[in-house]
Amino acid sequence: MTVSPPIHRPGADAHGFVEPMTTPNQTPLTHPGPAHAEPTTPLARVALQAARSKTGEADKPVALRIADFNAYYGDFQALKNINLDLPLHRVTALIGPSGCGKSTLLRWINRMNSMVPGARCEGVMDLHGLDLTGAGLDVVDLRRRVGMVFQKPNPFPKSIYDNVAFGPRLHLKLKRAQLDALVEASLRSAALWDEVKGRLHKSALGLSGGQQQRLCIARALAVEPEVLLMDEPASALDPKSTARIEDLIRELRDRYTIAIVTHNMQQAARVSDVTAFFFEGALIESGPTLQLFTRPSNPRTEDYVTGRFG
Amino acid sequence: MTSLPAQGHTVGVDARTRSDASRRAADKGFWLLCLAVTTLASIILAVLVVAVMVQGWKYLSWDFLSNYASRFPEQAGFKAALWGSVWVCAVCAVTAVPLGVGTAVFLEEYGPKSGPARKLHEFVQLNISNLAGVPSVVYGIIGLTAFARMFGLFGPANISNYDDMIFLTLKDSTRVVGPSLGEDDTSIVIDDIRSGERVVSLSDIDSRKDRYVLTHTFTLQDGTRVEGRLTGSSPKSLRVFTGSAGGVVDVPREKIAGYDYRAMIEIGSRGTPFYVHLPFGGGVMAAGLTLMLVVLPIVIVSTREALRAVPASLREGARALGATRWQMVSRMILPAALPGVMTGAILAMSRAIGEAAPILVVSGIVFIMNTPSGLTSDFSAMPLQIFSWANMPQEEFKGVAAAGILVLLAVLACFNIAAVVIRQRLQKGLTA
Repeated sequence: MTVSPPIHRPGADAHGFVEPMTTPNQTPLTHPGPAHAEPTTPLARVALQAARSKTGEADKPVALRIADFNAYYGDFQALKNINLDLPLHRVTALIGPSGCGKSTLLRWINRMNSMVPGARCEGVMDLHGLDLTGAGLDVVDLRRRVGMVFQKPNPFPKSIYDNVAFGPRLHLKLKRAQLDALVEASLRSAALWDEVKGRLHKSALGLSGGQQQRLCIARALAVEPEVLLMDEPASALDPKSTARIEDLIRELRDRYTIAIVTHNMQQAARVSDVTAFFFEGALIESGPTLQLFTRPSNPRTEDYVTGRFG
Repeated sequence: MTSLPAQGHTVGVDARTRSDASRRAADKGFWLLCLAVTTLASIILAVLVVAVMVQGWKYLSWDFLSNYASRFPEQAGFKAALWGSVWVCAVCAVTAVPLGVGTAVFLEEYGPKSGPARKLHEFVQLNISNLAGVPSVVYGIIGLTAFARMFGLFGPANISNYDDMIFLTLKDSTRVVGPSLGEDDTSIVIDDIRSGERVVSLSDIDSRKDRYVLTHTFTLQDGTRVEGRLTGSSPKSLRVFTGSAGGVVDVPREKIAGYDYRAMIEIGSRGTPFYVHLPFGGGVMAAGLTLMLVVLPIVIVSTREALRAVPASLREGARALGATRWQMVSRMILPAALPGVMTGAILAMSRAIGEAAPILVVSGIVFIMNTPSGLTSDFSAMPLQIFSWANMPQEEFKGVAAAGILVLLAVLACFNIAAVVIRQRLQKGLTA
């Protein structure tokens, strides 16, 4: 099934989407059916446009498999029987109202929650054969493979260079030149190099909020993770900085498996390939982003994405 | 005139106006009160400083800083006290800062998060704050017992001017103890405590521990005991310094039925600044450690405040990059908390330098004529010297004491300025 002409690529270009580096003739990730020919809501239009601008095979191998996963804070069950696969080198958006457990899931993927008193989990969380729920898990090694970017930019009170070099210095013994190259590559990946190359040894706290968040992304990338977790990475930023972060996520998609928690459904529609909707600790629905925003199979998903609650 | 809400605008406005007036009056009144209190405090302080300056100014000179204490007010100097304070505070800083920062890091970053250990942790935390309020003279008594005397475990404190004793264990398990009379390549001559002069072949020696000072208990044939330190010997008798009990006693060798000894352990070699022996006696080391006890709670509490001020988001950021706990503490938290830690440490030192009571209890000395030469040297300190001068009968010494106070105040001001400068320097480096 091909897409219908009126809302084809020109619309996508008008939105300023960066053309992916892969060949443009590849099949879109999702195959919009006839129902998509005339999207009724603005959100659905965004999702459709975004889907058209993304290319790549529909079926990607699974990077992280989550099965029968339960998480608790003391007696409170925060996540109930979650089954979700994060596809390799794709963006998965976790959406849902506050307190639905999406951040909890994110924080279990790199075990940030195991520092929280009373927090525990059970089930399967499988990262290329590494069991993330195991008691003997080496969290230091895990966090090298799974990076995290937080809601509020949290640069260390150090220079820009030292911020990016912080992670590599923890794990590796690098020569100065190697470290310089790694810092530059990370800052380039985070689309920050050109803005900061003249003041690498100035304090990171002098950067703007959006720059700080991209610095935090560069810092996470510097340890060369496989998976990048983002907990509402743009919610503390202004619209322009948000757009830059979203562009960045789309660029990083080719090299990293990304999971992003967001309250902004437009954002989920714009940047993600797969969307998972959480409600009260349960995974209500997950699937290709376009499908979830245009043809949700669960009425609660529909109510949420159309803004009836949440 | 109505109280109906619909028509109550005028009434309402009136009421608001009155309350506005009283609010403004209260605001202004409180401001005046604050101003008055601050002015009063400043005036009292100014009067005190000016009074001290008027009294002490004429004694303040380079000679005052470079002279030792004297019976004559015009010649009295502060040098011994100044250097004594430097030594004591150096010992205090070197011990209190690492211990206090380490304790605070443990309590804040490594403390147990749950279970009975958590309760113990909370109990300890609460009591560290309580310790900060304990009168410093109490720490003085603890310091006297624990550091100066070491609970008597190593014999009496404050023994000085002893001879070197040699302590040999021979291969047949007998011991030879006494001053050396001479050595050559093959043998050593010892004036053994029991048997007198004795030649010991080096090949017979199993172990040799000189640099031990021994406190001896001699049991005599009539059952009496003489306890003290051997200060000399002759073929017929041993000379024992017994301290309080009668001073020097000559004990005839033939009357000795048995003897026992306790070692006073030495670290370093005599004459070097780092030389110490156990027990420390009332010297620099004991006083410095006592002051460490006084300021330790302050260092711990201020360091914990500084560590707590490091945002949780930075900790999470470091952990999310795969930092171990120690990497997080050493590379992120401690550098970020350094301004606060340094400020707390410096303010603790300024507390230490002004303390008189604990030092007085430990050293018991207020008049001394030289600067410390080592960690077990006797010493005076600035507050002690001021206290001593203030107690002098001659009126002139009140002026000398005032001059001492001025020097102490100047040193304290330097400490506080240093704290402010360090804080600003470090914070400028951390922020934009």
